[in-house]
Amino acid sequence: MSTAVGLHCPGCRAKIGVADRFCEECGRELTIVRAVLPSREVDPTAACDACGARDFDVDGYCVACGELLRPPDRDEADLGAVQLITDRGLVHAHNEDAVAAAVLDDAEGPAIVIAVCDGVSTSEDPQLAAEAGVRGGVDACVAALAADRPAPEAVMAGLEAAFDAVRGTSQGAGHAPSCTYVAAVVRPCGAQEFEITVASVGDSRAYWLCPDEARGMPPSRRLTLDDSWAQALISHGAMDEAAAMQDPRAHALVRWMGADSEHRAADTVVDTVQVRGPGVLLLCSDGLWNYLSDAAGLAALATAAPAQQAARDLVEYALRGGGSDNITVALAPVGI
Amino acid sequence: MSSQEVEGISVAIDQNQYLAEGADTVDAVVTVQVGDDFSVAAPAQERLEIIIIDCSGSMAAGDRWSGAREATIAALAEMADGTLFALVKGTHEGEVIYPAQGPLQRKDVLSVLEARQALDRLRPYGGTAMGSWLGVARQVAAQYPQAMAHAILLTDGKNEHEEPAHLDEEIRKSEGAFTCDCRGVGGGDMVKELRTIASGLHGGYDVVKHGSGLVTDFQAMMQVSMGRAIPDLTLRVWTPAGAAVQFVKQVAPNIEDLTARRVEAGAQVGEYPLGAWGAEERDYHVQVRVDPAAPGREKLAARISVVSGDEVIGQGLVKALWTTDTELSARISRRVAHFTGQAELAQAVQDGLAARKEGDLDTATAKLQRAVELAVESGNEGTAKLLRNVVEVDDHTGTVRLRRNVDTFDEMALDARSTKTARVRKES
Repeated sequence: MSTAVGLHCPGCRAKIGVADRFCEECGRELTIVRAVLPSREVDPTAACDACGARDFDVDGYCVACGELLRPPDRDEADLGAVQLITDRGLVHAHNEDAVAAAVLDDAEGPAIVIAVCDGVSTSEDPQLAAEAGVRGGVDACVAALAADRPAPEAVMAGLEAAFDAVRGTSQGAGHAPSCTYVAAVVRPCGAQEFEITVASVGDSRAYWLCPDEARGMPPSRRLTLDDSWAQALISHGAMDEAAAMQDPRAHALVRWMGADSEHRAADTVVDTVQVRGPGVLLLCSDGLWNYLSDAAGLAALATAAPAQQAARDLVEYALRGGGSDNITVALAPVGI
Repeated sequence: MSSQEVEGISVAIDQNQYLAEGADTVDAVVTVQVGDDFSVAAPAQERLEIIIIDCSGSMAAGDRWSGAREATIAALAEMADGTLFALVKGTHEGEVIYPAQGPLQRKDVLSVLEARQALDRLRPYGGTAMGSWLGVARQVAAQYPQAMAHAILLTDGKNEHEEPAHLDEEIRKSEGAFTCDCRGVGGGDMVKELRTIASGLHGGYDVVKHGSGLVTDFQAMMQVSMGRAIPDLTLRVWTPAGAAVQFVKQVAPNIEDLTARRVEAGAQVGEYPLGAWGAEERDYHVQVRVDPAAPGREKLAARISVVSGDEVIGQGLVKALWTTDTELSARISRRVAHFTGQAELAQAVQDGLAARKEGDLDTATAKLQRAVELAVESGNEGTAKLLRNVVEVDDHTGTVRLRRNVDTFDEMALDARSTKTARVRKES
């Protein structure tokens, strides 16, 4: 399999840099689109819920009565090649998930980088960790790809940067914002085939999902293993999945990112799988898979409608199931 | 939340953000830390040092006078070359004895020699009116209004030749012109005056039993003064409409209530002058009353900025989140609890000593008992030790009894140092 290393102009195949707006050879305009959710921008037309004033300071607090502008419950981003949605859910007061993605122009077809982080609620300021993790991870991964590094190295670079960024959110002893991390790179590798490289720390997940007709290859399956108490027992053969997931300790994390974690990027498994579409790559936080975890079930929803609608359907499913946690979904159609 | 916008200075906020439904009081401990790099990068300041020596007749007792002389010489030695300086003799009025006439001199070998000669010509004789000494120091400082002016005031006794109102007036006029550290020597009853002057002029105060103890003390004070590179920091506090700052107290390294120093600086903003700083760390306990919001909502209770000149060099946010989860709202930040306890400790010592003076021994015993408990709980060994000079502690039951014979110096030392706080103990 030949995967082009580095980025190349979709028009003339000349080498391009990730920050280039135009190809130096043929002059074609290059695009790289990025998004990070939840977006911190204050809507300029927003009025304070409590006092009606329309002026907010840089941190989002009303300059008159001090109330924090409530961020919207849902944030969405359509990057064309990937759909991002993050939703507060129905139970938690705040959204402590984050998701970031970048789509890079390349000769073979766009390269997609995605990261999802789920803040650990029992840590301090988990939303700081989640945001730092997705930003650090995607930025470093994109930079590595542009520097001609192969996808597995780029994913590892993203992991290391994310570990550092999350650790860096700590403001001193006793303050250790923490989160999970799942990231993926999708690159075309010639003749309708694609290479998906994934890595995960914690219990956010990546799935490869194909519609029923099974033209896609391989069949729908989960691409990551949780770093959780339940998975540790299942992997050691001590319990089957049904029993393990029933236990109250099932969701306890055995690896995470944070100043109080001794885990290292280098110990993370980075997996690569060759796929052939049509299918979708789905990255999600446990706010989704707690309601629907089997690949076949997810595939039915994720491939039944165009990407943006499918992403919304997945989030709706979790909300209707109870929405007991923040729900984050990143959905990238592959070979469609 | 804390910020590190400027290298070398940090502002950290320690609080429990969660409030029970309907609760309206928010407490936070604000730690302002100025590092060496910030200090070093600050523009070089012109320095002006004034040493005010009590020349009243009582200073002839014991080794007070020789101690004062030795200490002044030692302080002169600690001054950096080029520092502007003056020596002031204090009796029922103040008088500059060096330079006796003409403009201020800068420290060098010759000027130190001349100053020592002036010092040697002094003899203790006369009364005590500290306000007038401050007035003279103010005139000295006025020769160089842009300089960082600092004074050391040494006295051995009560301000007999002056009305308290006059001293208060002089303190008020001198605020901002120079900072002043006060020292009391001997067993005289003078803590109240020392505290009033030091508090009003952003300085520290302490008592020393014998003249011989003054040398190292003066050296230390002069070293700290030489280390101060930032003439003036200000704590700027923004609160939302309808909210009110209940108090701002410095709680470490010693307790100082800054609440009355507030200067209005615009709608919803008040500023508290913090005096001169070197590379050091100070903690402040801020309490704000806010209008409660509904559970699940969050408000900014205060935005705290540290300002140097026109520049905001650090900022922290004091937040309030209302919740129905009582486990969250019942927590108290360890540091808030600790410093609230330290303030209670200082108050219990003051109240106990005052009651003892008035002859109300029951109240005195009860208050000092509470003080002993708080001192032990919070690891404030300094105050615990001083308390034992005034009360006997039964190690088994923890009960205290007032000592029959208490050295007045020990009583004064406890009074003076009860405002020194212990920092939060590190949990093992």
